[in-house]
Amino acid sequence: MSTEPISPIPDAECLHRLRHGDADAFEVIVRHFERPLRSWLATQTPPGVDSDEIAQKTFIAAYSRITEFEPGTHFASWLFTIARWQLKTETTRLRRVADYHARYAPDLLHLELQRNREALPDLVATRLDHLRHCVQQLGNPLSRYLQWRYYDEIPLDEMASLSGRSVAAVKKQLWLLRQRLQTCIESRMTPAPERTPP
Amino acid sequence: MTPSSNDRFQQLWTDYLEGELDEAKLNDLRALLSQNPVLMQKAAELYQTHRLLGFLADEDRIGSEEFIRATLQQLPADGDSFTSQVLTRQANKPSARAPRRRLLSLALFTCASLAVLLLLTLWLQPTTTTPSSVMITRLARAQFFGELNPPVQTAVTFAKDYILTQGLAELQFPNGATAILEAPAVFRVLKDDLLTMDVGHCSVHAPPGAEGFRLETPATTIIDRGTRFSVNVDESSETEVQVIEGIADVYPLSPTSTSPKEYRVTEQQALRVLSQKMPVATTATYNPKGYRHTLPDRLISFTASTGKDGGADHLTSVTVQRDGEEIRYPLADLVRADLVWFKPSPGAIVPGHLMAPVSLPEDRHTLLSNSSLSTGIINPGGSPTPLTTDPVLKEDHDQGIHGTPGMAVRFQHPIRNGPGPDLVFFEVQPVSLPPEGDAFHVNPLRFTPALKGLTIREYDVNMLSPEALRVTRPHLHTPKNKTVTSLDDLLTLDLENRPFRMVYRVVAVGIDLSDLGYAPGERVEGLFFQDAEDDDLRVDPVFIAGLP
Repeated sequence: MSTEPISPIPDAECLHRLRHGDADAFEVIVRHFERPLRSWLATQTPPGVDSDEIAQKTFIAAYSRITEFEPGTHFASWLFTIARWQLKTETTRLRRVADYHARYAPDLLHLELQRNREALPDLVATRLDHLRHCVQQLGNPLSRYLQWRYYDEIPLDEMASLSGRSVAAVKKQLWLLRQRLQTCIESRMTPAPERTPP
Repeated sequence: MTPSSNDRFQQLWTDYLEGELDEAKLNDLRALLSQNPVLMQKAAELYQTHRLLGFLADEDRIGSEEFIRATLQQLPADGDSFTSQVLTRQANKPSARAPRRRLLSLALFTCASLAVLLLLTLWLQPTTTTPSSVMITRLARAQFFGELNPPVQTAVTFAKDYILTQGLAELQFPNGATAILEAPAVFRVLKDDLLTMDVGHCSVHAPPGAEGFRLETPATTIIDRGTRFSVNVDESSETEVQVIEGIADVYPLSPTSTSPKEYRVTEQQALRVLSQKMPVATTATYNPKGYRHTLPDRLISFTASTGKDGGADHLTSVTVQRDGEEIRYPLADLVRADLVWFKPSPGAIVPGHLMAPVSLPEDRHTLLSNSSLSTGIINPGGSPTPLTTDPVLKEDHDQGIHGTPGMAVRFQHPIRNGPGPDLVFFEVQPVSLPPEGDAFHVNPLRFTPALKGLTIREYDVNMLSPEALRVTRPHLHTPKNKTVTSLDDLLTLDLENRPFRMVYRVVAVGIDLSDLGYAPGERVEGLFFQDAEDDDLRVDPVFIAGLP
């Protein structure tokens, strides 16, 4: 499996402008990294944490601390390190909020996500591309449920009403949808076996 | 994994992602996952795919521009503002006693970015804390530096530095003594009868039985002999003690003397101690006005039902302090306010004005008066200053009549100007924005020479308060290809909706009609609200009601 590594921008001129507080120069950074960063954070943030909020904090922190970035080193690594810090900080803060426990559960999932936190951002970006492909391959009726659940965000009972099925049957369809997509991603992520010459 | 456990996981996992897992099922899922590492890994992968699906949907529906724009708008003008933003959101690390002199100034003004990293590192490490028997009993518009506000009725941690940057905090000691601290103040509790304060203002009441309570400042030790007294410590550690009732003994601290002098200060006397190598105590002018008997009247807290996603859904009660007395009003007792006028600021670019769950109530009039905290009429028009004349509640371009930007509400029956807050105002605020809440003006509908508009810049329950509940994720309902210019547009245009992407919390403030110039007992039929137009952010009201 090959993944396109995230580009190590910015170049020397961009860095120079950033160090002089040029916000326009930073827009280039945000545009370049928002997709890999947001998608990576989406896979790493536990329930109850807004991954886009962490992404914004990460960019703001990077902008504010740009003088700490060492030219010649990998900018993406630096940015994702900040993101890990921001995520850890936010989850720590939320853990201290009274109503957090209920939103955070199940705690074991959180631990598992923590273990996976070193997952390469490039890998997540690849996974996202595969997921898009898998979504396009979905046929009816699962694509309807995908639309309702993730695009329209309608409640289960409304899906039941629209589909003429019970809520339990809707849940079953959602499970099948997620399983199908999961299997599809895994098969696309698995490297093809090398052919042996005849 | 057995077929039965697979089926069980399928049910529990789907319920979990759909927000339908109750406590019992949650325990089942936890048990299932803890017994099976393979299943745990599968759950994590399914979760990540679920999150990526949400990301894809957002990307297709909204694109990236909104995120990029919002991010660029939040870039700080300089590194210090970022530092302060971060620090106000992090939990504090209980620490050894901090340097006393000028601690507040140092804390507020000298934190550099490198220090932030260091502090974060330290804060994230496990620490041991010892709760005291001293309780935080009340807070009023309080903000603590570097942490969320501690919940009221919780114990103070021994030896922890509390840096109160705004508002007031009341402490109750086990012997019955109370201390009201006013910002800016740096203090800590070292024993169940010992409070130390490096800088700030403190009003102490020690009833019979609380004699011996001690308050230490950098310059003195003050021992209570059954009294009411106030202490003010400035940044040079100069300490002034005002005794309102009873007796207090003051011991100026001298680094060169092991037997400090004692000054007995009795009722209606004052003493000033200059902090020097050899402390100097002088008589000060007695001024009882600095003594605070209680916290100001305000909205203290509110309760709400819980929505499916765990957020606050419907308001159920409001607790306020009026004339020093805490009163809880159930929702049914509140006087609802009907929207009678709405006009955005001409030319203002705002994302929309109607906030509600995915299904909009048929009667959009009720978005502001119903009990739901996730419905509201948001982004009203505004003005940089409060009104000085009656708002114009009609529009006739042919005759050159232009209505006043803002929103007018009429109470379902007139509300009376009683002691303390007379009405309550709730708005929602994204967690990523400044914690103060959006500033707004409240104006009379009919001005008289005695009346004036009032600008509200601080909320009683702000984003740092544990009482600021997270609201059930709302949706923004916007007209298709049309800009809202009037109440009629708001109520009749065809709408489409999209979910808000950020996490929102509810902030709230009590408003005293006396502050607008109304006489005690005067009745008020309605009011006019405007955004204060002090920044790019607009006020987002979700509930306005009068108190009975």
